[in-house]
Amino acid sequence: MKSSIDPGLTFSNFVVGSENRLAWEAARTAAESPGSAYNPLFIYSDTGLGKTHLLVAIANRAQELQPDIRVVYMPLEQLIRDLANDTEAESLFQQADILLIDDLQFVGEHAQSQRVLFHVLDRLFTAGKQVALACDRPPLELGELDDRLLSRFSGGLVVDIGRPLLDTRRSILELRIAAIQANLRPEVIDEIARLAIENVRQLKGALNRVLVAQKSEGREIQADEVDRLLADVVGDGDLPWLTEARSRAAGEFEEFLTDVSSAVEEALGTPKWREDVARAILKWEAEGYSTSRLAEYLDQGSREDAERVIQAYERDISMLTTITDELNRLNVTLPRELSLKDPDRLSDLRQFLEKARRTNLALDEFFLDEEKVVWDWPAFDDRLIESWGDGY
Amino acid sequence: MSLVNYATREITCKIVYYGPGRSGKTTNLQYIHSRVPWDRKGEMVSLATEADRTLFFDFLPLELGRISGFTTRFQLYTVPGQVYYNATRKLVLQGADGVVFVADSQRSQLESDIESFRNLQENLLERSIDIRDIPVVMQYNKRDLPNVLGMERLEEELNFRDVPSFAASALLGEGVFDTLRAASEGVLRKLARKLETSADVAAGG
Repeated sequence: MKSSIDPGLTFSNFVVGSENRLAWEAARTAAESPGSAYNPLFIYSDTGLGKTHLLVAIANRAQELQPDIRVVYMPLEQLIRDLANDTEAESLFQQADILLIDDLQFVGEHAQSQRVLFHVLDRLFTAGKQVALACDRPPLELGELDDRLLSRFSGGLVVDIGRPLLDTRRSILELRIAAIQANLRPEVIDEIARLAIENVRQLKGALNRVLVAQKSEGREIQADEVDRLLADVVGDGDLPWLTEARSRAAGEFEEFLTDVSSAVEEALGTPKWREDVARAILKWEAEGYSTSRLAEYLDQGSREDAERVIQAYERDISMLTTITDELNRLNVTLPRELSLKDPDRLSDLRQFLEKARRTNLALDEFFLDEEKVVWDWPAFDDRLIESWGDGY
Repeated sequence: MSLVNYATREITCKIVYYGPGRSGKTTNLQYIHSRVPWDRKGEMVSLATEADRTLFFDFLPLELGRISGFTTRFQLYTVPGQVYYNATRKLVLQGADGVVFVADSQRSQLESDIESFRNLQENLLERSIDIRDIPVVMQYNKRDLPNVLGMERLEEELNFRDVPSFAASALLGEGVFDTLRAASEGVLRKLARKLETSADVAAGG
């Protein structure tokens, strides 16, 4: 049974931001006052955000303060294996002052070992020893888990580590650059940080790629080269996380675009007067009337005049109907160039009607109907003479 | 400038970034430029002095694509902040649909901020534009620096018209898109009001 603790992972080189401050402080408290608070300390987060760093930092800090303290750090899989294969393992774990278990998410796959694990933890808690656990999900999402274990896991402090924000990413890069004594222009660091690579290991990987390019080209890399450099080096589908990070960064613009699109749609949204005009166009087009006057108004008109324009148009339609009726009654054929469905030709139609009336008047006023039944035979001659007389 | 052209089905918004010298106007545009996909942005044009300060203006065209059947474009400009370039500022302001005032939050820059804001009002008035009639957004930049004034004090000194305001650190990109979004929405809201009362139309262009 052997646990390895990396002395390089400490609290001082863990970049603290608002998204991980609580986990950092709780871990530090657990290291400096083991068993006194937050027991167990349950830290969860996505991969690559610093869970292991904090667990190992607990070990390093505790040993720094108390060199004789017994600290066991171990991934769950190894702990389960040791418990199964080594008869002394259980008692060794129970003698630890601080037990740090990483990758706890696999506990659901070891139903048989859960009982033994519970006893180990129970003994440690009873003895006031510190337990800290790291997992990629919160306790309630651990799947097939013994209720007693679940209760134990949740009984201390459950805290998550959020994805690093821009400032934190920038600080991580700066710390890394200082640690390896490299040089990079500040705006290049900003550019890498803006890529929204939210996994710390991957962020460092991207930094390494830029540093390698800088070294191989023998000159300072500029900020506007970062995007191209990483794209060139990565290649299509080579590192999907980088593509995702780039898309997240681009997302800022996409969000803006979505909002602006809504605002444009709202701005261009049809005002009521346009709806009224459009409705009138549809109605009269369906009746076969020319609506070019309304269509033109829809494009270039204003709210103030809309009602008046629609009313005027409909008055003209009504006039067209009257003219149509009268022309029918007069039994007149309309010339080809005139249309009874075009209100914009109303004045031409009126003129035509007047002309038709005059042509038909002389005879029609003496007849009862279109069959030319005479109104009043005895008076017919007199009236005819009278009418002719008016013309001279 | 006609904001909406029904004949060509185009919307063009001109937004001018105004403010004292070195307040971060160009940095705003550079950040936006860095975040916009290649197919959406034109070349950013910067005319700078040898000392790298904006001499004339920066210009960043953004193609937002077709929205509601209209080809939508944003044109972002900066003005030179230095006092002696007022003629250029007036020129750039011409036809602006909205203004982003980029103030430097540093305590030592308050006077420059106030002077520049006053200059903005004067230059607009010269074009018979009341500052209340054009969408303006305030951006308090450089919030990441020490010795910055509190937001309340800046609001009191500069934002007496109570326009939308944002804290920003343009170098890191914080608050940049929030500011642009607010300015754009202000411009488009005004457009909506215009369309409601009369057709804002350029029939021929």
